[in-house]
Amino acid sequence: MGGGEIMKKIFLLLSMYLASCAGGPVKDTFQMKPFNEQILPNGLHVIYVADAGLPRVSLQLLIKAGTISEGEDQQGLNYLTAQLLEQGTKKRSADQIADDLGQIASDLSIGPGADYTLISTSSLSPNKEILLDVFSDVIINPAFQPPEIERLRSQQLAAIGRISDQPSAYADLLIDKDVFGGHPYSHPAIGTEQTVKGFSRDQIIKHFLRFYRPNNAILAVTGNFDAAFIQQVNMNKSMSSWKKQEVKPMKTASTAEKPNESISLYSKAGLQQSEIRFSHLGIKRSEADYLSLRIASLILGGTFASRLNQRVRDDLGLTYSIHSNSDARLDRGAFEISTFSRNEKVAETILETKQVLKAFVEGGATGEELQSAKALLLGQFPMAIETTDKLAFNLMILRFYGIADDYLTKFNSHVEKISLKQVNEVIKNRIHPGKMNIIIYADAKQLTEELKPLGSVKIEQIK
Amino acid sequence: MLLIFSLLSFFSLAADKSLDVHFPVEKFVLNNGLTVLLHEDRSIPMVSYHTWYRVGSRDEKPGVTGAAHMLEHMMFKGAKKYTDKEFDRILHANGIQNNAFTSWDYTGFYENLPSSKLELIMDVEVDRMRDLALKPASLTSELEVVGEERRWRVDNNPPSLLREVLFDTIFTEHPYHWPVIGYMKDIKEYTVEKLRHFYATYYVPNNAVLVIAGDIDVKKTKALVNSYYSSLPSRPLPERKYQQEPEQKTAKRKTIEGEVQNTSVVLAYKGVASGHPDSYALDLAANILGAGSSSRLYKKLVYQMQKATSAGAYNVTNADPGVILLMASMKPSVHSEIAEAIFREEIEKIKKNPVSVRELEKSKNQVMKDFVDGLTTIDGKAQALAVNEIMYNDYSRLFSDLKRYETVSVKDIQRVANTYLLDHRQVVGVLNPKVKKP
Repeated sequence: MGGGEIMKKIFLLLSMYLASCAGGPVKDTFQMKPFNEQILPNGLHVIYVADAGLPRVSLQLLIKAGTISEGEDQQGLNYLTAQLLEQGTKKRSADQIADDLGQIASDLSIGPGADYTLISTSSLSPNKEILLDVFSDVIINPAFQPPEIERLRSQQLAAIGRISDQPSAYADLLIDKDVFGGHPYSHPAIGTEQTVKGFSRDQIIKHFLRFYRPNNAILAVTGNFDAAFIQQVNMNKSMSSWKKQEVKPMKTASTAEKPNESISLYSKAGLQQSEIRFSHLGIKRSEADYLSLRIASLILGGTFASRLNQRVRDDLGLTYSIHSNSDARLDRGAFEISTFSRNEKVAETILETKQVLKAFVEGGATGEELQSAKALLLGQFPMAIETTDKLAFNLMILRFYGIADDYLTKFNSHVEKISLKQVNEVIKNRIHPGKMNIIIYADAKQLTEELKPLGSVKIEQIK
Repeated sequence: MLLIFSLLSFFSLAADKSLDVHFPVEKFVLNNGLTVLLHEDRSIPMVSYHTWYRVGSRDEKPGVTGAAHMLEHMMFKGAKKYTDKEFDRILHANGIQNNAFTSWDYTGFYENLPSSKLELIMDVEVDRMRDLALKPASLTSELEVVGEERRWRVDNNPPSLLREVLFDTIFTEHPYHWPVIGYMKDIKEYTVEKLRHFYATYYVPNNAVLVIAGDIDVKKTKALVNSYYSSLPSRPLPERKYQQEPEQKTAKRKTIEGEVQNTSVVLAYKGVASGHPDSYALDLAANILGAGSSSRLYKKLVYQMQKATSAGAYNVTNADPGVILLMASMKPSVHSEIAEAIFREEIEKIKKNPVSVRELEKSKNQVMKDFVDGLTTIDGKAQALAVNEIMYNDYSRLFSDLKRYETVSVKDIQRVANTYLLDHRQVVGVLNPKVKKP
């Protein structure tokens, strides 16, 4: 094992999922790996991507439930429900699940997000039958035993308490609260102390029975398997006993852009640096502007050569990282800029960022910038679907958001077709410098004179 | 500072023949000493291009800590042909994604590129290996950038501060005692002259490993490497003499306070270097103690006692002896002593009683799984080759270390525990929430 590494730069372009980062085939000869899919009698949508290159099998399950499925007083309910899946079933204790998976060098990754919850696991292919058996048991037969609920609740409460210790993650939560108002996207996926303390076993079971249904899920089976294994998945006892039921989506509050810019300082004693976020409402994933806005964001702050990076980081040395992102979701997501700086430079960082943003929206992108952004998207595309896991995940995401597969299969031509006029229209129509919610997460005691150039700043204390 | 524990865990186990994973690699060394590894994998029309140098923070001196990392940053600030901002602009305009990292022992630069851009990236990498600009104006702004990086990674991140204090306590003489990113006072005082000396000394072909993996024709790529890199001059490398760490005679303890909600605790012991015969048994012992929710520490502290929110153990090996770490993050208001007692109890168990055959098998399975997971991408393969070549001058250790893990026995686990996990070698580090003034 190696230790002690630090990265120079923190853009992780490739780690972004294809729904937000895809490119087209860069060579005519390049073909995506073939895949098959079918809908099982209980409504479970299954995607199979086989590849015998390595002795490895993965299972990924996307459940159509996230913070968007929670009411105001249910913040964190989906998180707790999802985490409880591996804490005991009707035939296995939590300990046994950990042991059974651990023995085959596997574990369960559970990711409750804003729009969906992703549960995934993998193992060496000789163990795929065991993996399928444990995975299906965990997904379909959770016991939600009271001691396990209390154990997990206490863990979740501890984790909630710790969020403010992670300045970057906490700043993300603060800006979501400002931008999304009464919409569930304003809630932290992990919930709040108040809501999590109050969940009953009944509420958890009801949430599970309402959303964790086969007809409300997509399963991806990938890697080194044969037709016999497909049969095992399809005929699996647990899978077949998983009952379909109509799932009515939650009605969510509508969101509205704030009319003017606002600046808020959330203060916590002892912070040594200022986390800064700019954000306003963005677009839905299903909107036609998705790809053009993604390109615009790439030019503004998506690469090391982007405008924000060149000016705020490279010219002025104000930060180690600044980037913009269009986070498109089922409902309107957010257009955001994230950075941080030393306390004495917080106003300069915000003012310089505003200046770059204003010039970008007023003047638009250049032809050269557009070509460069397209080249990067196209050039990196094959890596976004290099492995069977990545390809399957992207297929699941397209199905979840209701996007046709040609987004993937004809990505090259989709990107090539985007004109400078289109991108500049999207910049003008979708990015609003005058409506940005700007937040600073820092120690107010260390920022007194520094805030003056910013004008009116609302200050709120965090315990 | 981000600690990455996984790079050298790409070793394989293949008791089951169907799991005997190998892939072909062409290795050659140019006249100027550049070691080159080529691996053809046409699954996607892309290439992973890794240039790693055998220089890290252990090659620095007090007063210039963080120089290796600073130089890594300056490698993106232009050279003779690809100048200043042209560097990033040209790479992105050609669809190339790039990044770099610095460790205690080595510094790596890598690009993922469309295979049609192979010659371009060779030209770029040769340019910055030969003629880095190192302009004073670029350094001035980059000093601020690295200062912000340090604040972000360490000063505004108490768990990282604990790690920094811990390593400073474990290593008193060896250069591993200072952080890779360097101390803020040193970061502020780098000069072009200091960095140029570092560059001229270590950024030479005979101190580098080049790995090209992906959509390549091995024969043609070999010819290209020859034509681009052969003219780079080699230079004699300084003798590498690192201060040896004296044997620790008594247990040590460091406690710090930070703006955190709960206590974190680490129990550390000095370990062994990568490739040391005992490193394999120590990897497996750490795995049994603290890898995942089925491990002994997790079950005890998180599941049964419910005193911690996480618990784990790691054997961190480097070019010089590393450390064995047992870590826990406590629940609010729970003291570190509880975890410390469990750490010691579990260590005593491993010393006194043989681990079960099933546990040993599980840990070997996990090493094999890590190995396979690391090879799912061309970039992962390139990394795995590079780290083995850099550490052992032998990329094939990636495959052959399999047997070393395979032969680890229950007795070996007990023996290494009794050799390294000794009371007088302990270092405890604790991060407590700051006591609020009334």
